[in-house]
Formats: sequence, structure tokens, C-alpha cells
Amino acid sequence: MSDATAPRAGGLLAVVVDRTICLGTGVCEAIDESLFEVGDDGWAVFVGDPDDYDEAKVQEAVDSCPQGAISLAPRD
Amino acid sequence: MTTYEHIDSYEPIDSERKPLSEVEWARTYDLAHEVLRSTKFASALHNRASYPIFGHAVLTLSGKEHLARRRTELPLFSRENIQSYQEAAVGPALRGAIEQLRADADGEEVVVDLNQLVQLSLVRATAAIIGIGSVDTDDDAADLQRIAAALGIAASVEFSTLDVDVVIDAALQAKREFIDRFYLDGLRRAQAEMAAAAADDAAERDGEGRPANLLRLLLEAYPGWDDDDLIRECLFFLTASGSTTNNASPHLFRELAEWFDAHPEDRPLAEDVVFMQKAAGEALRLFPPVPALIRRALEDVELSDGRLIRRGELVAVDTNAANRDRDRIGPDADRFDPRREIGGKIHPSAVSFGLGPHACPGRPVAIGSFGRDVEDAPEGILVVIMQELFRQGARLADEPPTVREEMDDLRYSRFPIALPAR
Repeated sequence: MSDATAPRAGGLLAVVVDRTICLGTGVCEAIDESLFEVGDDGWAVFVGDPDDYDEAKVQEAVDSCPQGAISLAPRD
Repeated sequence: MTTYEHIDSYEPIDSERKPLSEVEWARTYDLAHEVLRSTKFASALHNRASYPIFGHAVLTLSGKEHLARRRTELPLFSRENIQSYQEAAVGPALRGAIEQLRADADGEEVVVDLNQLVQLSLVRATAAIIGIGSVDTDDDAADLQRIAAALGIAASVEFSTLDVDVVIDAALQAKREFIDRFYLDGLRRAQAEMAAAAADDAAERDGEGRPANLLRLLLEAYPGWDDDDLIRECLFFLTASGSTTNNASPHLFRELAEWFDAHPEDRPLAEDVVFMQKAAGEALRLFPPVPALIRRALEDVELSDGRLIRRGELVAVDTNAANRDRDRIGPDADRFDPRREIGGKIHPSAVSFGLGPHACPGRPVAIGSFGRDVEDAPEGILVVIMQELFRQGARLADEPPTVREEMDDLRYSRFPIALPAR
């Protein structure tokens, strides 16, 4: 199961957190807690604005997640 | 070619020469969280006496090198693979061992060492994870178990009162035995599979359904590695994959048996996966696999309690203290309560599997996944082993367990349980 931002035509890519492999390491949250948050249930969720997020910060989270659980996907 | 071939010794940097009693310690949950999640600290485990055994294994790396190694090994922790490890451990291994014990007992109650029973089950799962061969018979499993035990003592030698040289010599002997007895077979098989896959697309397709194993992943990702690089990573997995479950098993069994005695209405919950996962997390919180997680400052760092950690100096995270922090866990933090709801983003096992970039990816293998709304999420090897034992009617034996006196933490060298007569 994945957590993705709501699709929107054009613009930014959707931020996807794969809950089946997220371990809640908190690396993404440490990069920018306005973009990612590890919930009480143990997984990370994207909490930023899907239409206006800092692409460099999100890419850093994608590149830094030890589980490889965060990705960017085209919107439908 | 790597620059760390055939490591027989390691010259520690100055800060690593200090005994742990002289380094700064983080003893609250919040400080543990701060240090373990920070990118200003690097992992500093196994940089001392145990370096020839585990040096440069994934746990010891930091930064991009750590991330690359970790991602190489991630396929080992897919749900499909975890399910196959569970089946290897609990299927024929545990049930078969219990059946054999009962047959030998000829209708009498059986008293068996839980440590030995769990280890014999786990080594088969571990062999599947690493991709080593020839663990088909009970003798094979017993040999691998003995090797893993010697390595496990070396992995925690920094926290014991044993003679370090004696322990490391025994572990190096175990390393040599592992190579001759298991590693070379596994290596030949992995190389043959890779050669066949390269020569024949059909062979590659045949191999697609098989679970990934460590040796295949490493050979494909790091063609320049020499045998010693491969072996040290295998030894780390051999130790890590078994030791957590093995150390936790007696504690979890004892706590659950006592809990069910005190709360008989909960006894049917032994079949409830979520209850048992929370119980396993709680037992691991109270009895963490290692007493300390050690980090080295990559720059001058001022901790939130005002202490300054100079670049190169070590910080030891006290896992026992952090896991029993009353301010975060609750006023009864020293008590086992499988119904505990900690909240505040704290995992039921607290820092026992680490936090941050080095959080152990084997956590779902041991105790499953908490709070996941995923249908085929793994239950966890520790959970399914305990469920099987309680299903078989296992109880604490009348004879007392034997404690490992050389460790500060409570660990058992023998933990007898009784299996009732059929």
C-alpha cells in the first residue's frame, strides 16, 4: 500500500511513500519535518503541499531513505 | 580491488581506545533519539576487538557507503522473503524438533533448552538468508549454531567480562570453520547460478522465483570484493539474524508465561498475532539485544542537555536506560505489559532495533510489522516461534535457567521449558 499525494495534471510529481517497506527510520522527517512525518503507527507520510513543495528537499529524502521507500511518480 | 582485504587486526583511532566507561553516554529516550537520528554521528560498532570478524559490515558503515550497501541488501527483507524465512525456521525445523523430542521421550514430559531449540530453528532461516549450503541435517544445523554462538559472543565482547583475546581467537576459529564448512559451498552455488544466468536466459528465468540471498546480491553488486569482504558481511548477518531472536526468546517466553498465569483470560491471545507482536516488542524493549549503540561524532556536536561532544569522540546510547525511560514509556516502564500503548511515535521495542539511518531492517523479520494495514505483512519469526510453543502447551520448567554471569545484562545460557506429554 502506498501513500501518494493527490494527482494533478502537470506540475510537480506525486510523492509516494511505500508503506510496505517504510521502517519509520525518520531520515525523511529529519531532512524536513514540514514535508515528512513519522506517525504514531510507525510509517512516514508526506505532509507537504502536493502542489508546492521544495523539490530539492524531497529529492534528498528520496535519495536518503535507507529503505528506498520514497519515490516520485507521474500523476495520473 | 578493495583496500581492506584480509583484515586480521585493526588499529583503533584514539577515541576508540577509551573504555566505554569513560565515553559520554546518552541515557534517556530523547537523547537516544537525538543521537541515533542525527547525521552528525557515524556508527562506531565493531571498530575494536571484533573488527577482524565484522569489520566493514553494513552496520559499521556511514553516509553514502552505508546507504548503498543497505539498498543492495534490501531485497532480503521483502515480504515474500520474510515469509520464506519464517517457514524455514518454524516449519520442519521447530515442529520437527519437537516431534522428535516427544518421540524420544516415549510418552513422558520433555524438558528442553529453549535457547537450543530456537537456535536450531533459526540457523536454517539464517542459512537461507545468507545463501550458504549444506544445512540439511541436524548435525549441519548444530555446527552452524555452534559457529554462530562463538561469533555472537565476539559481537558483544566489549560489554562482557570475558578475556577479549580468548573470545576473538575462538571467533576467528569459528570464522575459519564457517568458510570451510558452509561459505565455500554457498559461494560455488551462487557463482554457478550467476554463470548459468549469464549464459542462458531460461536459467535466469528459472531463478526468478527463488528468494534473494546475501551472497548473490553481494557478488552482483560488488564484483571487486575479495573473499574476506564477502565473509565478514556473511558473518555479520549470521550473527545479527540469529542473536536478536535468540536473546529475546527466553525473556519473551518467561514474560508471556507469567502474564498468562496472572491473566488467564488473555491466554487465548497467544493465537492473536498483533497481541504477540506487541508482547515481543515489549520483551525486546525490556531486554535489548545490545546494551549500547555506539556512535562517533563527525563534527563538534552540542547535545540538547548541553554536553559538547568533540569531533571524533564517542557517544554510547544506553539501550536499557532509554527503553525504560519513565518520562516517555510510563511510570511502570520496568514492567512487562503486552497491552501497553506507548504513543509519541515510540515503537513498542523502543530503541532496541536502533533508530534513524541504521535502524535494523531485520525488525520485521523478528517481530513483524506494527500497525500496517497490509494483508500479507509478516508476523515475525519470534512471534511464530512463540505461538508454536504455546500451541504445543510449553511451560516454564521446574528447573531454573542458567544465567550468563559474564554479561551485565540478563542473558541465559540455558533456559529449560517443559513440553507436556501427549
